[in-house]
Amino acid sequence: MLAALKRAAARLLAFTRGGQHDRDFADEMQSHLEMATHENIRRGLSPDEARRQAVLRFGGAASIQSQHRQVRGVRFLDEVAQDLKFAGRLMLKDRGFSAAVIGVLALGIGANIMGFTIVNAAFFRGLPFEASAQLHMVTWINDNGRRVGPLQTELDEWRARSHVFVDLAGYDDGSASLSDERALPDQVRATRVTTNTFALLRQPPVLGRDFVAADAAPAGEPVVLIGHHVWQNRYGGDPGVLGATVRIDGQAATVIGVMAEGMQFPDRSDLWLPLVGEPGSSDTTRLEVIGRLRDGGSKRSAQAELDTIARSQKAADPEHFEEIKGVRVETVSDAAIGGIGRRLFLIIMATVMFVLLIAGANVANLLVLRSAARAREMALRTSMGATRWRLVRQLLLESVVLALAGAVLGTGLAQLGVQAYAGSGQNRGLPFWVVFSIDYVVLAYAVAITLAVAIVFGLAPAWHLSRTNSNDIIKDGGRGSIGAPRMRRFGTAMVVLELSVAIALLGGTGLLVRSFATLYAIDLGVNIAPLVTMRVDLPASHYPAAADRRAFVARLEPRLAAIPGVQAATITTGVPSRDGGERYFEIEGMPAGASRVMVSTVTATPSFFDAVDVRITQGRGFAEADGAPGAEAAIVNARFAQQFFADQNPIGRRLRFAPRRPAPEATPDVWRTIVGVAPDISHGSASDQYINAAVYLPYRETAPASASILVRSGLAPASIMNAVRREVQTLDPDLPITQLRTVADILAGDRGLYRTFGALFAAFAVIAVLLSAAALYAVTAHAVAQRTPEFGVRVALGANRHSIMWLVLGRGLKQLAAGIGFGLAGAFVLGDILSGMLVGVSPADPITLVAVTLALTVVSLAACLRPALRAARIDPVIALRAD
Amino acid sequence: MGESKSDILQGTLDLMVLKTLDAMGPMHGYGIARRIEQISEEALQINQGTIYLCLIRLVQKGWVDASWGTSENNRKAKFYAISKTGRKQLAAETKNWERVAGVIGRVLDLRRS
Repeated sequence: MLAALKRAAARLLAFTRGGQHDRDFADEMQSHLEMATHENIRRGLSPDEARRQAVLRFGGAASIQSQHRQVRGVRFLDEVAQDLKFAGRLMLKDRGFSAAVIGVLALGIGANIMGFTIVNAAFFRGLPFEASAQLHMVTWINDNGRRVGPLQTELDEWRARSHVFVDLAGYDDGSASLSDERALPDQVRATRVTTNTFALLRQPPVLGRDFVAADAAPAGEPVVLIGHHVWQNRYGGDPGVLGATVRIDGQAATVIGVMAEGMQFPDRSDLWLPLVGEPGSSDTTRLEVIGRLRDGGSKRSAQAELDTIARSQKAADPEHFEEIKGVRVETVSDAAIGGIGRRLFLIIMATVMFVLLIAGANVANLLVLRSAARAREMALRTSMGATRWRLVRQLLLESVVLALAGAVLGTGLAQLGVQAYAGSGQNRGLPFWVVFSIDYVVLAYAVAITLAVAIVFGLAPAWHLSRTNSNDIIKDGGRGSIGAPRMRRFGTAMVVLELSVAIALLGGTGLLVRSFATLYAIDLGVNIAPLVTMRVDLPASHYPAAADRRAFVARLEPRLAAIPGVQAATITTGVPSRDGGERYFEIEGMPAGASRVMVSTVTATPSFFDAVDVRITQGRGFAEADGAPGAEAAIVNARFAQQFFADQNPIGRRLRFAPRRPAPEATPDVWRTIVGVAPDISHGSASDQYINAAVYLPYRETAPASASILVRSGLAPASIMNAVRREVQTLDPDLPITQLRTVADILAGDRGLYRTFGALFAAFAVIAVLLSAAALYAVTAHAVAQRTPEFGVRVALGANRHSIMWLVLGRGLKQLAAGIGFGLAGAFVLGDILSGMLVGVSPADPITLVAVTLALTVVSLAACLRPALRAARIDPVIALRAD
Repeated sequence: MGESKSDILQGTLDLMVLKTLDAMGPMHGYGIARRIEQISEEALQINQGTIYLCLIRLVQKGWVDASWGTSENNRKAKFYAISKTGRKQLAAETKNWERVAGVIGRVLDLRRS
């Protein structure tokens, strides 16, 4: 046993030190030959003859040498090393071929790595916290499928009754001004959180203490936790910041701790405040809720449990939960990148898989073509005793080496792609934890797909080889015509496969691009270019009553309008492409059923329509008096008028908001008289392809605390934004300046996802088409080379050069036709899958499919043309002499 | 350790080399090859190179030790010497060989009669 181990060790050592042992043995051989020569000379032979005899008696030195090595070394490793060396040499020799294979694989694998990097960042990595897979979001869902956050009291009930969740925490994301004596006031993202949040996230502060329950008491001392970068940037990393007093929106608060670096939960937050409960008061803040599942708890069991809790909550207070359809438990990434975003990511993954399939088929094709050229070499090796396994292993090794080279290059390409992608701000609008970077998971994935591709597609030539008889090949004289028909069939099959996948992808891409184009072409109803907006949140501490807020707005609006260059200014909850919430309503004198849908509501000051520069088409706009008690007015948009009044005149009719099943004792909403009809302006989401019915209400009536300034001007946005900031701060220095930006910017952010994916899909589809065209070219060119003698004979017998050319082109066209046939079928399937995210285009859009087919036809013809022309130019004399 | 038993020629050469080293003391490869040729009275014509394949195998099995030294003609040469386990193996192999040879001899006798 010990001896066997020692021997194995010696062999391994011998393998790693092969060179030294070779030299040792060469020396020994040398000494042997010298002694033999010496003895022969003594026996009277001439020195030359003596040497010759010595060598003869020794036997084939090279063979002995290699056998010696075999006995000495670990045979398998030795052979693999040999194969590797051979593969390397071959790679260098066939530079063109190797470059083609490596290039194709680099594109395929690179696209895959990039796709997976994005999916990994968005779905697999999750929050950068301990056991983050246990974290789930919980929310109400309303009748329209929108998320509605629970109130604090509702959250408290979930916390008390849920057993599947260890705990649940609520938060309200917002912004605040941070000021103190140390530096200029900063506008920061501030999140109010329930005090158990950081314990639940397992994110204790790195400095100071976490919130405790007492911090949430209304009478307690106000405290704040600051983010790491605020600590670094504003306070220079000074630990003395603990205990310091800062002003948050003008209110004094004590800094009790600093959070860890990179901790920006929920979304790029700079500081955190305790969510102060106001018992007895009707706090209407709707919270985002995150919970941590117990060990072994599943999303499904959590969903089931909360369904039960929600049902009993609804049963206890049906009026309060009127518009709530149910509760939803979802993963953090689903909640952040749900719906269309999620599907887009998955489609990206599928797309890159298809690109990889094309690349792999391409490589298989190239390898098979080359294996034909090497058939004689392989046949010779077989006849000299190489086992089939040895040959297959060598072929596999070659494809693995090529694939690895391709993977390295592909990873480089992907790195560039990912950098460009992340650098172009494509994660804007995505949560802070979605960071596009190539990590170990991605690299492991890259290695896995590389080996898979190398083995699956590297087996193609091996399979081909196993079907040929080595004797036939040697007899054939190495022209490589044996097995050619089968090989050509294989090549054709691969090309058809590639063309099919390419056309399906191209079709899907075409549909998406057209959808995105449609989105961009959607008429928002307003010219957004000159619009600048800013969020105004009037804190209840300074502006407790509607009258206070009205007074502030009454002072602010004229100041904004007076800024030089500003044409109009308004305060509204409905900056174009946003609305101020959806509500149920009813129209006086109409059966309730007809209007029992939700409409968008927008609250605005009278100057709104002037600010967005549209003209009331019927009736009048708001007057200052509108909204005062007794003068409740409303303006509806054209879609509303068309949808609910059809050919009747809506002016003078009355509507009111009402829950679907009003409680008998509740006072009904007042009737509002419709005074005008406005043209349609988009107040829906960026992906809505039409404008919803909307009702405009006068600001004066409710004076919502949360609204936005909207300013139209012909000046550069930057200077206007500064002026707006100045005017607001003159009136109230503590008022937070948040989301000060152009409307165009908001819209671009909303559509960023679509734009990005449009570009990504287009890039992948172009890669797919190029790869397929390259394969078609390779197969056609090879066929022409194979058939050169045949064409020579044809020409010699008087065949027309055109007919030769068509012979070649026709073959290409047949493959193309088959590819288009399968591909279009695939495109229909893909279109069906994509249908949920198509905007204004049918899944089987004929224009897209025809355009895609034409594009691929042109590219394919171009790929066939060169070989076809070469075939047509064949000189029969040369062609026939070639043998 | 069945690797050499299956191949009778290889096994035979191993046995001859071991016996030569046992009888003659440390020798270099050329010496072993010449010695075997002489003993067999040139009847056994082997490629001298194969001796080295045999030797490396024996070294690996630990039956023979090898070291560089100087030959009688002042040449650098690798010398091989039988080891302790080598002698044990030689005894066992010799017994085995005699047994096989005896069996074969009896079988051949049988056929002749």
